[in-house]
Amino acid sequence: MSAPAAGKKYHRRLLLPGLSWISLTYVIPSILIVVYSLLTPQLGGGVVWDFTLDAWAEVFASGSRSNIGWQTVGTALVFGILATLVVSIPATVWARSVGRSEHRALAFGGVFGLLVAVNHLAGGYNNYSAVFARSVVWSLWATVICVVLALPLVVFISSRESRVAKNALLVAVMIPFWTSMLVRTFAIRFLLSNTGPLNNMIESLGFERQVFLNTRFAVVLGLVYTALPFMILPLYAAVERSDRAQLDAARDLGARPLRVFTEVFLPMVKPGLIVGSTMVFVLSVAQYLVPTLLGGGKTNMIANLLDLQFGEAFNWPLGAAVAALFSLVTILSLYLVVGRNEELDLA
Amino acid sequence: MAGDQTAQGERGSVSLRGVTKRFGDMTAVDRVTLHVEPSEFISLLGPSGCGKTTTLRLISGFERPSSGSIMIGGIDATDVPAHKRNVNTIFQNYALFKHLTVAENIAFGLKVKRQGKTTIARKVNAALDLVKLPHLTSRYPSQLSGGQQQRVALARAIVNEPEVLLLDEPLSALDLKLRQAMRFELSQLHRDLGMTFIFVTHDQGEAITMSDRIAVMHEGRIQQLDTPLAIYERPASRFVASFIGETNLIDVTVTSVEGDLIRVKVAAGQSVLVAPTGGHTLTPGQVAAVAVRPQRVVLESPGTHEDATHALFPGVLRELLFIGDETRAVTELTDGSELIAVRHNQAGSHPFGDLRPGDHVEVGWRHGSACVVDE
Repeated sequence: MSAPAAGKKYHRRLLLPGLSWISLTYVIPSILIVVYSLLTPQLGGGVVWDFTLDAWAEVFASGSRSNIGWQTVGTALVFGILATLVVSIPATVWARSVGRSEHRALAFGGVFGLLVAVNHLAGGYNNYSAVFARSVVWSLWATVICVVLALPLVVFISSRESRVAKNALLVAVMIPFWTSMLVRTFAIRFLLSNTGPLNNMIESLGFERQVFLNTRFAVVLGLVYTALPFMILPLYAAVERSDRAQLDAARDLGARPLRVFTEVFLPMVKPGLIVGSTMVFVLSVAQYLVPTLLGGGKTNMIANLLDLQFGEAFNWPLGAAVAALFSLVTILSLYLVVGRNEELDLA
Repeated sequence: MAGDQTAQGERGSVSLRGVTKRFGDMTAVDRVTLHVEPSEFISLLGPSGCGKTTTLRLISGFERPSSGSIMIGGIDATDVPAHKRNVNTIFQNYALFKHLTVAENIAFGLKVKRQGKTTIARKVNAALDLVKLPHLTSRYPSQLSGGQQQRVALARAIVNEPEVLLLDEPLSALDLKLRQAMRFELSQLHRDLGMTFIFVTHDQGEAITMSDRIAVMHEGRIQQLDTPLAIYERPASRFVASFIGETNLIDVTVTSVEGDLIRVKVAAGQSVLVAPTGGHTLTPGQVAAVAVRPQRVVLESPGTHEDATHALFPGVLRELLFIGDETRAVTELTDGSELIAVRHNQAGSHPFGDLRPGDHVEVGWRHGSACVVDE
């Protein structure tokens, strides 16, 4: 489908509005951030134009590692290996069953395990790699949970026979957007609080009240709650476009339901899974409100760290370095998941 | 696997007994009873919405019957799920797995049955040979032509050596020339494999050229089940007569039944004798129709035939239409109804002699060449 030469020129001009917008709001600020990260902080905010690598050194080498004993290293190793297995085994089985390269599945599990280990190692220490690892791990959890929640729901909606029912259910998915995110997050805070409805229910069932607020459970729950529609919508589009006859064909060839699901259904909706996962991950990893309100306002995710450095700490270069590294991590993970997927058809 | 328990000599047989399938208020398949012999090529023929595809999906196990039972290979399969039935389907749009290569598509069923890698490779190659597909094993379905996709779908099904192959309008997505070539190839494949073929189509030409027997379906029921020749010559109902080939249908009233002949009264006038239909009984006073193929219509100048072997009515020749190798003559009877006659054109002579539009003619049929059909 090659357009004639004259048409090509015309098509190129269509890029202009988008390209200038991106340059203005993304490319130029990104360059500025990298430059700022190489400068010296000024007391009370701003920068002094003295080039130094101090900010980067602090990002990579902060925290007091002297406190880490063998026991911590040991448990970090165990957790890391466990996390690797948990992700690698199903990923590899799937890759093998659909005849795809197992290396990527293994690598994916390895990276996850490494992050979990770093997260644990740096756990109690408020250094920057810990914040990064935690943000990524929590966002990955949110992504996995969103997939698990969205898949059955989407199949349910898509299998409704009347168009009215389908649209009504899709609108229901969108309804939370009608309320301010701040209000909704405060609502969850209330639900999870020590004297909130959830704990009242637990007590009435004869159990002790639990602390939910300001735990990683509360944060991941908040991340999932916020990002779920962004998983549901692309996944729904993928399921709607999928060819049901292929599911029949797999059954016809003797495949049990589980096999039909893993070997035919999942590959068929893969584009939707990838788009949805990307959206959920990117939205979650940059979350500010959820970790602030549900995580207790400690520096527990990247956005909070940025806020701290540009705000209270008045260390703009350090904030810029964190931001630059953050962009790099996001772009790299996007490239790993989406960029090399040549058969990905997002239309 | 169901195939292992198949009763001796029944392998490949399919029996539907009083099978009904309802979707809500709609009855898609209505008390269908059908016995398919092992190695038979049977077609389910009918217009869209007649229940033929639902019948096929009941046999493959994608749908459960609302009532009735289904036997495959002599064993009750009514409650056997689709993945445990020893039948395979060719889907209308092939339903190839887009994310798998040709070889992986064909190997799918064998892999599910946990066959060894070398066995799979050998069987996949044999299947590709059988469907005359070049060994494009590492291509993806999207890189193949429609005809090639069709062959992959065939190979993917027959590689499993099912008892019964179900074909759901497999040729409808192909262009005309390919469609006709595939008719021949499917017949040949059927002979070579010795498998039972159940073929769903709305194309009477496909059904007539390929099948041992045809089940003509209408509104969820089998209207007639017989050989292509019998269905063509002795349609059991007005619907079958009009659906298979071109037919003149003349409304009549049955006046008497005399042995194997039936006397009917045509609106245009006198009583005539006509050969009866195969199965059903007709009673005097019943409203019915006479079906005559245009090729069998007798069309002559008045007074040519005066014997009792013909039923002839006065009429007027309205039109002569030359259509390539045939000529069609449209005649009008005195009651205003039309009767069409068709003759092959032969070099040097006019197929209808000296008759010209506007001439008074006698038009009708020889008793044996027409039959009475039910309403």
